[in-house]
Amino acid sequence: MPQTNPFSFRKGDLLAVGFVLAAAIFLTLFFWLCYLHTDAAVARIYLNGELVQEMPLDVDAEYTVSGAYHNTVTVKNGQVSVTATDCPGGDCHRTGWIASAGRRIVCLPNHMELVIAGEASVDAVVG
Amino acid sequence: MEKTKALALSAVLVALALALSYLERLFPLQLLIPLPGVKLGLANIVTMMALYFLSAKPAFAILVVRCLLGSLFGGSISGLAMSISGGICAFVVMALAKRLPVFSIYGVSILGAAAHNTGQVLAAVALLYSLHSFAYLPFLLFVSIGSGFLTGAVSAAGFRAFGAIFSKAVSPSPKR
Repeated sequence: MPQTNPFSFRKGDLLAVGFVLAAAIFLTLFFWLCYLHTDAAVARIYLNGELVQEMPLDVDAEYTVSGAYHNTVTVKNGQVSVTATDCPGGDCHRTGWIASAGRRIVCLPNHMELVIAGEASVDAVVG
Repeated sequence: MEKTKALALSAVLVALALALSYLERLFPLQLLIPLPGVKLGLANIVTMMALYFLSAKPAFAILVVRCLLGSLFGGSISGLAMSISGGICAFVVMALAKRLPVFSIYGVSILGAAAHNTGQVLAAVALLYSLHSFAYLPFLLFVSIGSGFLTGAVSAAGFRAFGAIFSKAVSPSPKR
């Protein structure tokens, strides 16, 4: 079997380049599509530790949590916030608008907790 | 006597691999591409050298010893897991690719670099219990085409120069 010098570039090596390139592009597209699909995050509202309402962040909506006090939760432009409250502290209102998975708004007086479902994204990579 | 020569050569290649991975730190490639895990992969040259001039078995032994000693000298346990899983993936792919007549050392090197990154990411996924690391693989694969080509070029030049010496030192002569 005639063999060419294994130490010089041949056309077949372009196959290797093409294969790796194809794998990289395929994976890029795959993860991109995955990202697009999982983009619609859900805000879960808990009152006294029990789930009372789920609000998808891609639908603008408003919901009032009625416990000892009242929190008005507003979803707008993919963000969520407690826009009005009659609790004494008002910390839930001051938390402002949140959008990313893992972020939360807590109203201690009302025993209300709002969590955006999903795994928290990475803050930093060390190593 | 051949056995002794092969053993001595294997030891020299382990030393060379360790020296190359140290040398590699002098090239701050991460300044150019600021991503963790991006490196030239110079130590892969040694695996290829062992594959081409010795055989698969000593090449594998050299790889394992190199990873163990490398992490002992300046690494961590998680670093060891990453380098050994990347190294074994690269080894398997390169040993197979070398048998295919379509690839020269360039193709073998590129596939090896890509396999090394894949193995590393697999180890990262296992260590971090998180599939998120997979999303990082495409970037590493793009980089591995360039780094694989470079190490392939370095190996080709080196092997042309040293090939005669090696094939005299170890029989059988290099295949292909």
